Amino acid sequence: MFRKGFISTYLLYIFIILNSICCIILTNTTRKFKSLQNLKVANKFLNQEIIVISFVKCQLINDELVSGNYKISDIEFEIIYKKDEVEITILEKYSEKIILKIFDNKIIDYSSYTHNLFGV
Amino acid sequence: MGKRKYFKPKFEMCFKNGMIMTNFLVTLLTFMLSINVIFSCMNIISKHNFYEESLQDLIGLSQLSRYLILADEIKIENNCIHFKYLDKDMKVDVVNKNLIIQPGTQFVIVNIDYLNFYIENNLLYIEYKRNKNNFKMVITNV
Repeated sequence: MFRKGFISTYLLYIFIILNSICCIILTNTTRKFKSLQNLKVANKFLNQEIIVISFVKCQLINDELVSGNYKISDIEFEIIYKKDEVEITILEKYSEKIILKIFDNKIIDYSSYTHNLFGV
Repeated sequence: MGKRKYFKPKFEMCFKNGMIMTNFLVTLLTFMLSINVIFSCMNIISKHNFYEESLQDLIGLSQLSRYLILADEIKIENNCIHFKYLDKDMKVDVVNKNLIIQPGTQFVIVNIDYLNFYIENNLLYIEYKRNKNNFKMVITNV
């Protein structure tokens, strides 16, 4: 295999194939880590959303929801209560805006805006 | 004379054998012809061989969490979660080794051998087993 030539042809062939396989494994591992990083950020957002929405749900059931600044479980947020809509701005490191649609003192839908923190 | 030949640089010897002209060019040509086939094969490997089920589980469970944030009356009965979502009765149940949100067939986790839901410290946990590996996660608060 190595007797003839500066770089043996077979060696070059095998080297290119092995190199391609290594590149694929590396690309896949990178993608996997990127997905994990994104999931980590998504879970951080989700955890604070769970706490904030639970609080709003509770306040709505008791008919006590008022606009203002709140701090619950070390999460600081601002609530702006409008008719049929609640706008929540989370003032933490992972800041986001949550808009809750309300009907008959119940949350029927919500959307969140995360200021482009994804795409690691 | 023999000694002089021995001390000749190897680099020069390589080109004297005519390797570049014949072997190398033929291999290069063969490689160029087969490069399309090789890379399409690699592409298939990259898509299928490295599929990560646990990563898909995390995505599915975060989707389930988003459902349960807005849900009311969350109950665990016969190892499945019953809840009210926008005044509709819904449940999360295991069907043919897959965890599915019903009504409808929204898959959350696939290919599970064992599953258990339980509530501890006001938190809803999921515990499942796949290929002798145990997983445990918090879904939401209750």
